[in-house]
Amino acid sequence: MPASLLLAAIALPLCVAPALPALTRRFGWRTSWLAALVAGLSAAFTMAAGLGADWSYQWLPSLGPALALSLDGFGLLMSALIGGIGAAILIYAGGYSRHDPHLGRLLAWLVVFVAAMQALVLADDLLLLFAAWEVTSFASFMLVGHSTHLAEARAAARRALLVTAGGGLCLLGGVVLLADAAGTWRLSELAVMTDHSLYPAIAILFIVAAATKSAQFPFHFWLPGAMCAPTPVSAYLHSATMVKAGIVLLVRMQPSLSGSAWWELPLLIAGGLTIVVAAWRCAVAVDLKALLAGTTLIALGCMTVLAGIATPSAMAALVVFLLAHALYKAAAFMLAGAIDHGAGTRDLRVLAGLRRAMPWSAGLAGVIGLSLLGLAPSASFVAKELLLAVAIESGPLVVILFGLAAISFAFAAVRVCWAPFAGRPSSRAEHAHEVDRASLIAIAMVAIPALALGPLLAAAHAVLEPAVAAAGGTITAYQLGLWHGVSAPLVIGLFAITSGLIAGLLLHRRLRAWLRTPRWWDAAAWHDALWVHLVALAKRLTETMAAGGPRAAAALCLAVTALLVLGVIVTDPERLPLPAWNADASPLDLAALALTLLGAGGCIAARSRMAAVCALGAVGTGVTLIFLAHSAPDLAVTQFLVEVLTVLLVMLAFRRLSDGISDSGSKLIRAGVALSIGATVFVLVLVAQGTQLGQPVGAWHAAAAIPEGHGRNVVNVILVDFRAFDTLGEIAVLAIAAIGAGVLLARHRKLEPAT
Amino acid sequence: MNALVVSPILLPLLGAVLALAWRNSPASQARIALWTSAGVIVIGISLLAALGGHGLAITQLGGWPVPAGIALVSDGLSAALVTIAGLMIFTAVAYRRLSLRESDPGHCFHPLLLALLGGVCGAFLTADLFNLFVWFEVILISSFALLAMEGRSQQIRASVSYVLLNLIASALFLIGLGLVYGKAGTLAMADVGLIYQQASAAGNGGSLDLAFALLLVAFAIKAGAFPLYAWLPASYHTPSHAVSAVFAGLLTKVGVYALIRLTTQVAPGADWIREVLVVIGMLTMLMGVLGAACQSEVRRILSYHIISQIGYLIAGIAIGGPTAIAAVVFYLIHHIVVKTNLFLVGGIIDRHRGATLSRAAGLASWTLLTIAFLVPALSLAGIPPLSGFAAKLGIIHAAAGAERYGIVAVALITGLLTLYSMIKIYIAAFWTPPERVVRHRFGLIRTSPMLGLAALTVVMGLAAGPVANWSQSVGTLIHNVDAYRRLAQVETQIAEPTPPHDALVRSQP
Repeated sequence: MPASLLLAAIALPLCVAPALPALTRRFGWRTSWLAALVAGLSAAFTMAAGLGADWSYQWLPSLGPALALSLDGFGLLMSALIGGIGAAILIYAGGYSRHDPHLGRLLAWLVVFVAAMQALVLADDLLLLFAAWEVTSFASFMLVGHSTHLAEARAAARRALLVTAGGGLCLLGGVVLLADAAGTWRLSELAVMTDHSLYPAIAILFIVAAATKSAQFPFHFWLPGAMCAPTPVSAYLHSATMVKAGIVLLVRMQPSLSGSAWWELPLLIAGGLTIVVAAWRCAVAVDLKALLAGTTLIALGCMTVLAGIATPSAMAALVVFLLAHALYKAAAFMLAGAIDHGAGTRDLRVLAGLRRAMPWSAGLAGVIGLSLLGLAPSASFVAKELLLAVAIESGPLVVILFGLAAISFAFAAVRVCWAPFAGRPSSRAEHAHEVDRASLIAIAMVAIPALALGPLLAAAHAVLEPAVAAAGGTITAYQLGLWHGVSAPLVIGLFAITSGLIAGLLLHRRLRAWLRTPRWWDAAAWHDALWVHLVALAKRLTETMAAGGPRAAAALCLAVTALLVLGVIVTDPERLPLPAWNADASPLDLAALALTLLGAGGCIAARSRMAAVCALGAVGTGVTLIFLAHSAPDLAVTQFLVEVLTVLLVMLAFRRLSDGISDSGSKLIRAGVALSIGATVFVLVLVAQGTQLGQPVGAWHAAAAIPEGHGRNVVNVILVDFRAFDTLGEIAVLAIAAIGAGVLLARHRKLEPAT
Repeated sequence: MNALVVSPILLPLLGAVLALAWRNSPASQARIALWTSAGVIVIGISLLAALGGHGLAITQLGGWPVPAGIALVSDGLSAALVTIAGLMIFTAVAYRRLSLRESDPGHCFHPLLLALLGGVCGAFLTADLFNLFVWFEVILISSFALLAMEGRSQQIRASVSYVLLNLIASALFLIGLGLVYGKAGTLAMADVGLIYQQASAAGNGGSLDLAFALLLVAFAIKAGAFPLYAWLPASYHTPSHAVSAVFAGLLTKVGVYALIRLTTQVAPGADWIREVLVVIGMLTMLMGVLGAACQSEVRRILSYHIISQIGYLIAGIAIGGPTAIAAVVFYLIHHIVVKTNLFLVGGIIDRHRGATLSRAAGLASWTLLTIAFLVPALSLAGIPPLSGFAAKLGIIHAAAGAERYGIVAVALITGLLTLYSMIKIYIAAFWTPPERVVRHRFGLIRTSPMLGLAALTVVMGLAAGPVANWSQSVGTLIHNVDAYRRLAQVETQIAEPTPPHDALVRSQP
């Protein structure tokens, strides 16, 4: 039963999603309540399943990976967040996007996303983890590009997909190497891998994957771009859940991959640089959602740094911070969407005085502001205390980074939750209106827990402890408490909040002027340029390959043949039994040789097509002579007929074309190709003369022709009896050629009068 | 069982003759083509059901013993490919009638299509190298006629490139065959393999190596491998939509199939071939996908993708061993279905919006068509849980297991670039708002040929376990050269110390 509940947590949303567009056409925005119910149920299912539940299905038994799910504390926490926040967001989407004609599609992809995310956190199999990862990337692509009529949205969607899917491929590489190295696909069976020869490659691949998904430097640019998605999408995917997938991956891999510089350094560098770059972005942001996206980047940077430190206390801080951040950031984004809807803009420079027009929103903004500031009694206060304590353990650099993060959060809290509502109402504010009830309920559903959870955390230690333990951390109820006396973290935190408040209230205009971003400093443009250059390079390469048309391609084929044959001879000449040189030649042989050489020379010297064709005919006649000299009159006759006919037909065909031979391209190269393929065939003929390796079946054919085939002409018996199937095919070739020629000629006749 | 093995070749050829007889009624011709290809599908499935992964069926044509006569041998791979080939022709014919609603395609269209099917089935079933050559010629000449059939100057130009390079391949193949027969005295694949093994053990297999070099180049040209693929992008975007979909699905795969047989049965233990193929495979993946990335016409993009996917297949063949060949078998089947499907959708985009992506737009309002495009496109890019994911995973896993990390890296980069160009088509053709809104609908019946193939992709992805199990045993069987020989009754020669064909000669008075 618990096992099937786990499965249901993924299968239910997956099954309902395809029906949502049709239901929305029928029931309108109310369908969002159904979608929310599904998301909530999926979380309820995992909770009902209970810790330790597992389920598996052998999907690819010949390779080893299975669809395996298992529920540990961390998975349960994540699953609850995914379902709970998902439900709130889906309710919000029904209000926010009420007039969107494609609301059904939006809901459907959001619900698919819930399923994929549940699979990702419940997966106990590397491959299932990867599969879920890819589905979240793709769902994100569809959601970012939801407003398909906006070129900006399409570009952002493509960017987001290319970055996250590129990371996904790194993940696949890492997963395959890891499974190969560890000998298992099960996450729970992975051993410590740091001593394996492939360890550095595996660690880097996993880190790159996590960095792309969680938008860590240098892949941080796609996340702010993804803000052109509808706000419910930003709130859910790009702040609360999907971007956490990278962190989830780091947490899952930490037991087997952490503990070396290959793990620690890249994560510290990526996370640290992300915090700095994103703090800058926050300071200069004029768009409400861009500012919030910046703080999301900072939060993810902090988590990445914590995952790099990977001590038990760091992992504990990570889990608590992840929980707090997911709640308040989803609320903050929904609030931003509400402001956008109510006031008609997200521009921070014009938003002011909304408190009268949007009282409920203003109240919720206060609740969210406390969390964003990191003030007691919010859950984020507890998280911040834990973070700073870890920083103090780990050295001054981390203290500075986390301090910068706290300052930025406080700055953002003022700009998002205070400034739009305070001050004199601007012209915008006069036309502003409160948003619909569904949106307010949805915001309250996550904003209030974010605040109220703070005092409860210590009491909920028993619930939280398994989650922390599953992530490789340890935590005590005391650490989860609100008050630890006047400690270093408290002082640093208060200092950071004060600085943030000052910056947000007084210095924001100046900050924007001081920190003006240089034009070249745009990673999104760098990313686009990279692709442009790559495509240009591809174009150059492709054009080079196609240059010269069929003639060059034919020469290439011949050159490759010569090269390969030569390569075989050179690499292992001992294995090649060459025949003894036989210098005896009859006068007829010599005549044939002379004629052939003459023909070849004439072909080279010819200045007109007709002359070249005739010269080629002479070569063929030379071959005829050789057949004659070696008592094969039937072959000689056939060869001669074919030569004559070929020359005649080709001359007829060339009748209409200009007679000159175009002399494009390097003669040297052409001569080289011709000589090398000539030499190749010469060697092959020579080799064919050597000792036989097996008895030819021809002997059997000759002996069996009369008694078995009842025919005196062996060749005929072979053609129509022993190997009659070949003849069937050859006749088919002739018939098809005749049909084809007939069709072409008929077309030609039809076209002729017109031209 | 014996009649079953030969019937996928004879039935389409008969169908072609029959269709020619009804040349004045395009509808009857289409019906004949549908019934014939359906027949091939049924035969293929019954073969598949009878053989499973471990079975072999053999027909010695005319009752002549191998290697004096020609034998047709079907293992699971041949049976599966015959089925898929029949399905592709069936879909193409249905697509032309249902989706494109084209009028008379010319009275030779269906006969040529059926002749092509006969040739393809022949190539998949024969166990004789010269016979393989003959079926290659059937395929070449019928595809040439299909390519040039409409007689537009662009098509004629394309068919010149196509025929010129493929004739070079045929010539090389033939020279190689001459050398094989001159040295080994036989053309039966299993027999050549046996003699090559004996000669290699004795240290004088070099002359056969030279012959194999020629076969390798010939098959590589047919498969569209780097740097010999010039004929493919020059021609695949020119014929009518149904024809290019069939080409995309079947033609290059015959070359790949020949490469599988070459490395496992004709030249067992020739490691140098696999070393060459590793390099060729990686370069083919990269050059193909780079070519796709810079194109701006749907069918050109898709054509270059064929090349890059051929690279995956060649890389898999190069890795060698039952696991890698099993992955190749899986990939091969997946690839035919997906590629044909994409070309079918590409034909619709082309028909309704024009070839270049800058003109294509706004197809998202056709929901069913969107699904019919997205499923194979994502499958091609290897997104789980579609068939392409299991296929790509198999190759990458085999490469990692054989410590060919270069292949792993190139395969992953190629995957990203594949996604790039699929998304390019999707965004341009489906998301970009159209200049004028399309009113008419593109309903279920019109989309059904494409949806059918898309469903197959999904099923193959979800049921990857059974399919992979099957391909694993097929891969093992392909490597088990002795089983093949025993069935081809060559084992008498292995057992007896007397010269190979004495046993046969003795049976005469």
